[in-house]
Amino acid sequence: MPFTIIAKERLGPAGEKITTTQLSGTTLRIGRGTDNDLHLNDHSVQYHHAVIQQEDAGYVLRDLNVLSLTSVNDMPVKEMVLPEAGTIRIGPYTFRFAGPTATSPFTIEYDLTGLSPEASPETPAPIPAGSEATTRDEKFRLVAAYKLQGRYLTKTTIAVLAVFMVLGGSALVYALGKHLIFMPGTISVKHRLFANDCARCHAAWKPIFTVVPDKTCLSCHSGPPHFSERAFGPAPQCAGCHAEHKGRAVLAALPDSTCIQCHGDLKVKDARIPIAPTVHSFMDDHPEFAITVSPLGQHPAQRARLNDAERVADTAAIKLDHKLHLKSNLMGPGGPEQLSCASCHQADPQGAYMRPVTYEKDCMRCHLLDFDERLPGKTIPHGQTPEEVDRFLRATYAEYYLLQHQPELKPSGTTRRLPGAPRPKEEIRINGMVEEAERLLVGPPGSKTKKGKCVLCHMVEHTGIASQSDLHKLPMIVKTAMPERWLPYSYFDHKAHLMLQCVACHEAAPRSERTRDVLLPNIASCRNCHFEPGGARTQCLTCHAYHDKSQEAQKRTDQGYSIEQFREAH
Amino acid sequence: MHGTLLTYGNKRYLWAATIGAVALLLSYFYYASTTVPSGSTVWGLAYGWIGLLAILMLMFLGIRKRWYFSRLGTLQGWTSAHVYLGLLTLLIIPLHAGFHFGWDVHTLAYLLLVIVILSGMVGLFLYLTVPTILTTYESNMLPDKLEAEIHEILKEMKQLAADKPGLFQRLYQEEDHRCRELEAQGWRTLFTPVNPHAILAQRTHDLHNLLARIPTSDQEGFSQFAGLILRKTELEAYLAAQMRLKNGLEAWLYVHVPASFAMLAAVGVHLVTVLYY
Repeated sequence: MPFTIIAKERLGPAGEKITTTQLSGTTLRIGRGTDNDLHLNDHSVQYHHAVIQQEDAGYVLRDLNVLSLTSVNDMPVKEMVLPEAGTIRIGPYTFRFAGPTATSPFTIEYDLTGLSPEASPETPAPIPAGSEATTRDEKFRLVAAYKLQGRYLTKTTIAVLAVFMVLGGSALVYALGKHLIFMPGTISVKHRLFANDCARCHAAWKPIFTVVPDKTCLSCHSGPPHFSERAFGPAPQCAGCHAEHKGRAVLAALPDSTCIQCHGDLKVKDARIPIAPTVHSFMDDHPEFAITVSPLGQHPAQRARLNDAERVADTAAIKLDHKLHLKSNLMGPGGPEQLSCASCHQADPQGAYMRPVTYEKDCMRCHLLDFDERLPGKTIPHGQTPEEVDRFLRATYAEYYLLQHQPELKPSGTTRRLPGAPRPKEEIRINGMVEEAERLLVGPPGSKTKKGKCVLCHMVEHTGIASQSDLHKLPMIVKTAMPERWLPYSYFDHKAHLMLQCVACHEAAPRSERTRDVLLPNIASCRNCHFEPGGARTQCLTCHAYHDKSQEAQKRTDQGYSIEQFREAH
Repeated sequence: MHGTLLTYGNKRYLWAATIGAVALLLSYFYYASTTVPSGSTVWGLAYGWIGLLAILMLMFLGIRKRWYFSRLGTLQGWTSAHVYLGLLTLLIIPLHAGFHFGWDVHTLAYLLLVIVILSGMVGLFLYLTVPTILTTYESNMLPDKLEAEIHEILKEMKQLAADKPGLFQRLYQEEDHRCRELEAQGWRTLFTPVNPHAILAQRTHDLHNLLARIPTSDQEGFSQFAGLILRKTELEAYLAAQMRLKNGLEAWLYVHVPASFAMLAAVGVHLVTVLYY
């Protein structure tokens, strides 16, 4: 065994306690750390203070400190080959060592009496009670210097300051009129101009779950009601659908769910409205489009779905054969020509709907109302009452007769005819020509004569209205009443569909020979492009609106804000 | 091994918070499919109530911590619940708001909550890592004890220096003076690590240089004196290191606690505003 350590401790009259430790290995580590072989618990002993190593030259003592804190035989040494015997002093410890001999190994012996107890090397030297060492020196500021908490710098003071900043800041901002920071959620673009003026829309302390009253919205907006067909319940409130502060930039851009909350389960109480399907989406269960078959303005309107072949009919009381008009080599005023849809159908200035087809604009170029070969260039004025037409004919033929028989005419004293007196022969002649012309006009059509010009397009009724001559009854053209808007409960914009041919949607038009045909595209045609996902828009608001724009209130000129008032409190 | 703060009671609060989070998210997905989410809907209000109760529970830790005689669970349980509930509240409030944020006092309240929770996470991290580091610095002695030990060493030094040349007394005076006149540096040293090794090496080097001026007869005494100085320096360094780490354990509360009260104030403004209009 290279090292033997003998520790002695005198325990008073009980004798002394001797602890002998044998260590193997070639190194004896000495120091305050518990990992040392020889553990010395005193301040002045460094953690790893010294080592004694068994080497060829002998037992070498090395002090591990930069500054020598070890003495051998009262001499501070850094490194030394130990003599055969002597003393080593480390701190308060004095070791007697004796180098190895034939009979004993290298031995270190020391006396622990009065020094730190061996039994609990982890605890420091106990401070005797009542000694000077127990009183704390209050002027010592080591621990105090490192404390975080100052006199004023405490968590409480910082918390108070922070609360004050939040509350004070809020009050200050409120006083400065910047109420926008108190607004939960964002505001729509068009309301931003007066966003700081909460009171413009809100009354204070309203009950929870109520919304801004309609009166407030209507002070700036007109909110016409839903289409008058609506026959159930009170109207929803403006803010019930157009909810502000939800992050919507445009309040009018409502999602389908707003419409579906009623139309998804439409409870109809009025039996006059026969068709009230539930709709959840354009793709799923939107019904086939329904045209209004009753005259415009009639309430309730009678409607028929496009797939209801029996009831769907154009009752316009006019005769039009689309197929005929669209054929090639159609004979026009200047020779054969090819008509197209745009020859008769033009859009309104907004480009949304087609302007009504009128005789003057669209038909007259080809369908002249000349009525007598003897009177080339003379045409019946279109769109007049039977009496007016009769008077026109009478005047025309009178003029004609006058020109023909001018030399014969004598001035007569009076034009009044005495009752019972025979009519003048001129009058009879003229009447005859008028009657003949009228009969031809409403007679069966013929291509080689001027016959049937009116009945080519119109239905004729024979009325009880007497002609000016009282000699015959005037025919009457049935009023055409061509519908201008087939689908008045929706909105369509032709301009948005300019890229398509007319027949892409109005497929049946080139084949249609009967006026009765309704040539609107059905829902399947629209669904060619309007589908989800990935297609054109299918939202309710794409084609429909809640508010009936035709009932929009007109603005009174004395209403409204000045610019300053409008932007007040901004 | 992590402390039982996070794993208290078989991680029961971690489970509770996870299940709570999943339930809240599922309910939100359903709610968002029926309407535009916002604080003013029925669901939004429900989430708001949950959030408010959560915040009040979280703040109650401050009271429970000081309520020594309370039998309301254990403090460690409360702290464990505090951690997980705090993280859950980070989710509850955006659900309440329907994820609408803006430059307003309502988002300020949430921002302050985020600051509170982030500082809490920092604190949690410190709670879990610092105590282990603390043990490397003379774990058997707390700063007060270290201070007392240093005081003892000074006494020994004074005794030792009594009959020695003036250098000894001067050195003693220097050491004594520093202990009494050290200026406040708790906050300053928070972010500058204390390196006892380097400090000790430097001091040893300085004392070694002084050795040349000591007469030979006093050199052995000086080596013992120097040993005391080095021991004192070491203890001071450990004290500084320990205090720095302990300060770290406390400094985050200087953000966490004031921010939580500021958040309460902002929540108060929020409630008044939304209920007024």
